[in-house]
Amino acid sequence: MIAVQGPKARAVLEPLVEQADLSPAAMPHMAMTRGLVCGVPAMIFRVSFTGELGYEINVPADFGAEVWRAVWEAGQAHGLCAYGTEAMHVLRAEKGYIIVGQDTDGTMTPDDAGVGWAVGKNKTEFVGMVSLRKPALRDPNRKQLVGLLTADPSHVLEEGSQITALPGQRPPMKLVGHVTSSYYSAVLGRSIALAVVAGGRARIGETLYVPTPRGESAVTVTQPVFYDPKGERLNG
Amino acid sequence: MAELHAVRRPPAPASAAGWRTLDPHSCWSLRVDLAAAAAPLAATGLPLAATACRAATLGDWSALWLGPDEQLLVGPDSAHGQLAARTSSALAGIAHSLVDVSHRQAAVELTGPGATQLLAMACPLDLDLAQMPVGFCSRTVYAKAEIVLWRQEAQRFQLQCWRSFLPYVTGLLAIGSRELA
Repeated sequence: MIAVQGPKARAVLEPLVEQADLSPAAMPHMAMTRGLVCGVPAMIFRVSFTGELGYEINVPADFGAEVWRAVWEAGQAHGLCAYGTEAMHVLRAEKGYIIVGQDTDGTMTPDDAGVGWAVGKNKTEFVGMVSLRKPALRDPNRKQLVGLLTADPSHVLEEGSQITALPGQRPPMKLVGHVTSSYYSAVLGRSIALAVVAGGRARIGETLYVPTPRGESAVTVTQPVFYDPKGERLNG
Repeated sequence: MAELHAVRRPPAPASAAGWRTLDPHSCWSLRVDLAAAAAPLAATGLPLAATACRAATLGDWSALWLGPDEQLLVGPDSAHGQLAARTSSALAGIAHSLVDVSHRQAAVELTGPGATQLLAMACPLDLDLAQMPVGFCSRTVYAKAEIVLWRQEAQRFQLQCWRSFLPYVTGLLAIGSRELA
């Protein structure tokens, strides 16, 4: 699987593709198609874990290295660079794209993770529906996914840090949540963090506190999408 | 972009005395009622192995019996393009699944008098010719890697494993070759 991401992703890929139409009309975001890439059978997905226009190409494994090299060479004229998983993690966190198991754990509901919209409202039955109706799982004070911005923009919080509502507490502190992802964002020129906070969506705009090895860090609760909140970059 | 056509590059080619990784081949997992499929496949010139743990060969293609409804079809890479259409037309109307696993399966050939010793290092099957005659095939293990073992001659075996297990398998074979040298 080869991910080609960024505003020029289509321009890089199109010359390598046959028997598939990558135009926005034929292949909108989240569409997939089959075709040839470098003459070999491929599945092409228009998907994005970066928030940018992007495609993921699946080819049979023995062709992988050669197709990667062809994409690499085709991209040189467009300023293509290779990116690793850490860069990908920063890009996805800027967009508030969660990693299941990092930003979520087994106790979280779709609503906690901010994706309650994806649960069918008109269905009369599905596996898990009874659980989701239980009062404890509908409690507005459950931990919910939010963004955090540190008062000091150069301070990158440690992932796993605890969060308190009141400053200056001594242990045992009352904890209201924890940091799940934390990075320095180059495009924003500052640190960003994702966190789960009790009743977090109702606290957006409030100041919370994160005890850190270098002292207490004041943070502002925000929406979990830090960059391109309207998602326009998905269109290239 | 017709001038650019990627070629198959198999994972991690390796060899030592008595064994070598094989060039890429065409490999398909066929799940079907064997009794229903045997005649239509034979009519189109494709083999089907009717006996448990035995391989059958017809022309370019071999069928390895891996289970009561499961065969592994193995043929040359050059014949890859025709196999799906040939099989699908032969089995029209018969419930079946045919999955291209060509790029999943890597193959090692072991030959010569040391072959059984190399295999016996890490494979629990009885390799004696009386128990494992020529034509035998089975899904088994080589140390911790799942493999398909196929005895093509008394002293010639094909070992297939998943591509990501290949360096593990050939690494063990290399140790064995050094110990036997």
